[in-house]
Amino acid sequence: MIKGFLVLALLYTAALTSITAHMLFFKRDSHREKIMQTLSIVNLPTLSLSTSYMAAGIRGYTKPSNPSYPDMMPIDTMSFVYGE
Amino acid sequence: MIRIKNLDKIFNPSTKKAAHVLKEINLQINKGELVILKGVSGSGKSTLLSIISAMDKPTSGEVIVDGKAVSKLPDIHASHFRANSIGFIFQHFNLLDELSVKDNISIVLIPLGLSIKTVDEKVQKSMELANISHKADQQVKELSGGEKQRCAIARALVNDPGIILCDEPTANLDRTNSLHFIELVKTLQKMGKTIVIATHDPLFEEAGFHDSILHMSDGELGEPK
Amino acid sequence: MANSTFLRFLLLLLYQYRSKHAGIAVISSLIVALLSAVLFISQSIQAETALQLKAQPDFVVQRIRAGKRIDVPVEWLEEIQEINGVSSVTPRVYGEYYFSPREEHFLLFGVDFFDEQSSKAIEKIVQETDLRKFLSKEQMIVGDGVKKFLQEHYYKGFYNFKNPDGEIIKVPVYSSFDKETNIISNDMIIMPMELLRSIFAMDEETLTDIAFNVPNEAEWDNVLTKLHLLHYDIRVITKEEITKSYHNLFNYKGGLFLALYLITIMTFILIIYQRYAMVAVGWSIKDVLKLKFFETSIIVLLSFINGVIIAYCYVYLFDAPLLSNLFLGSENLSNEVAFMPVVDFGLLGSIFLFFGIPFIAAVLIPVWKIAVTEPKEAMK
Repeated sequence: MIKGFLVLALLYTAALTSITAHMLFFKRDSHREKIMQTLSIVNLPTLSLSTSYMAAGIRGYTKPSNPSYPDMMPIDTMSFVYGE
Repeated sequence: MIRIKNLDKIFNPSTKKAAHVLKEINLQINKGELVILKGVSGSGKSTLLSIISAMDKPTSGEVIVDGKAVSKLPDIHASHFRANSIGFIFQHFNLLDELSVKDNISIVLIPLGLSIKTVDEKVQKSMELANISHKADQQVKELSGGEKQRCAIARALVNDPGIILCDEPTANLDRTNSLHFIELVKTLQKMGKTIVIATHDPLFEEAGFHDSILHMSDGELGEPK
Repeated sequence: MANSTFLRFLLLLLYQYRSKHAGIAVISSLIVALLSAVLFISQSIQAETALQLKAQPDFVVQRIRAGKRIDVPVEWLEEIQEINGVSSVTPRVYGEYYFSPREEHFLLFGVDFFDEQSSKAIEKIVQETDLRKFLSKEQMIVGDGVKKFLQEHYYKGFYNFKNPDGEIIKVPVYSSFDKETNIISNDMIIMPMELLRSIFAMDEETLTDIAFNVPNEAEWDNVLTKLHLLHYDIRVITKEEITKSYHNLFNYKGGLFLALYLITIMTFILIIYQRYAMVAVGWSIKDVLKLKFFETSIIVLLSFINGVIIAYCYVYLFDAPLLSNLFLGSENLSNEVAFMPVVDFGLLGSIFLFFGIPFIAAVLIPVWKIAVTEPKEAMK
């Protein structure tokens, strides 16, 4: 019984150690550098979200903010972020 | 010695569901006596046993065991009293089916803070006394009714209690096993234990080893025979 | 743990009732895994967003007529440059291009290749890019999502854009962005500014919008007033507005914890309460609670570690299939993002507390209640 618990503890230690190692040794700097360089080409920092063009960025806001001026989209829509 | 004075127990007092289960009980059981408590189901036998063992508190009156008013003890002291002075044997054995015989018996000793070695020694001794040591490592769910009862007896004896309380101990046993149980009780009687058996099994009366028989009916105690 | 018989008994109970405990642990682990995965994804995207917000210009100027955005004339560039305190004024030419049969869209971005900074960045980011060769013809560099989309639709190394006049403009694909930048480049196509103007039939003297910075924050209000005085149809978007919009986009935390509570309560219903007859054999209520506390704590701790390990592997090693669509959307080009590991230990601690404390309480309270109020229960 005790042996079983020891094996379990060992497995957990191994799993946690490998996760910590993955986290510590992930090449964050090179990842960041690539993103920043891409951004510096386009000067347009937007996330490449796969939402439909007029989809609202925030759930619940599917309609224009002002029914009298339907063309005036609220700023939380993707169309705002992307531009037209 | 167990002394019970003017004991009353009312469940759900001051409600519509109030039930007066023990009425003005006065009783004295001397050290080493074997008392049989007879009565139909619902007559208050189990409630009386639970109050003697300080598991339940009376509405009024008191229970004095060896000069100590156990009915007024707070939980921590009451459990200490049970762990040191009481051995309980139940109708349904109340064993943990997944655990082995010896592990079930050792449960009683865990709160006492003894060393593993002492616990193992005490468990071994009580198993031998209850004649169940050959099944020590077997899971309780694999045992027969009689074996389960012997395991329950070993558990009741492991803390070497002065008082043994039995609640319908043979209700789930066949005649042969019931007779074995009675033999075991006789051995305990010879060891000088105070024993209270709540039962309506006539075998105990027929065995003729009791010091007195008390009849309980509707919460009241009849004259001792 | 001075009392080793207690420890032995605790381990024994955990071991002997392992199938029951494992059942509870599996359900709890999945709940923690789901929650942690959602948090890992949102944290990772938020970290990327924070990175992008750094590169975000302080102001973007657009032109609005009758509530509709129209192109900005090039002259505005100079007018803005003349405002005191303004720097890095950048003209931007970009737009959404629809692929009508599938109702999907690409983000086309025009790059001025004579701009030194852009050229250097392109050379670095896109492998094997020889800038001269790229500039010699009208070509484009596409994001990973666009590349896959073109392959799926049998465009081998090119795409036929149709301008508003119905003319077909065939543009070959020169290269593609690194997959690692998918989070921003997935639906992006970059091409020379002039080529983009011809696709959108834009006037040569117009821009989509103008971005610029005002390094002195105290001047922001002042600059804003000056801009509004320049033209009546100007629309200024500040960095703050965009930041707010992004924060709203991934601010799931409140809802998450509510969901966590609901799910945790559901789990408790599944917990089979085991009655121990221990009170009758000399255990105090304190002893029973102590045993139950340690037993439950071990299960909670193991479930939590399991959940976090599963979530970590799912998000950061396998890139969160299915769940990532919730965050990145799935209506347009599907995006395969390699998430950057971000672990917020404070949030993990909160999950542990929000999950563990109600869990332990839900086990201990009924045990305590029965042990205190129902002495007969212990005798059955």
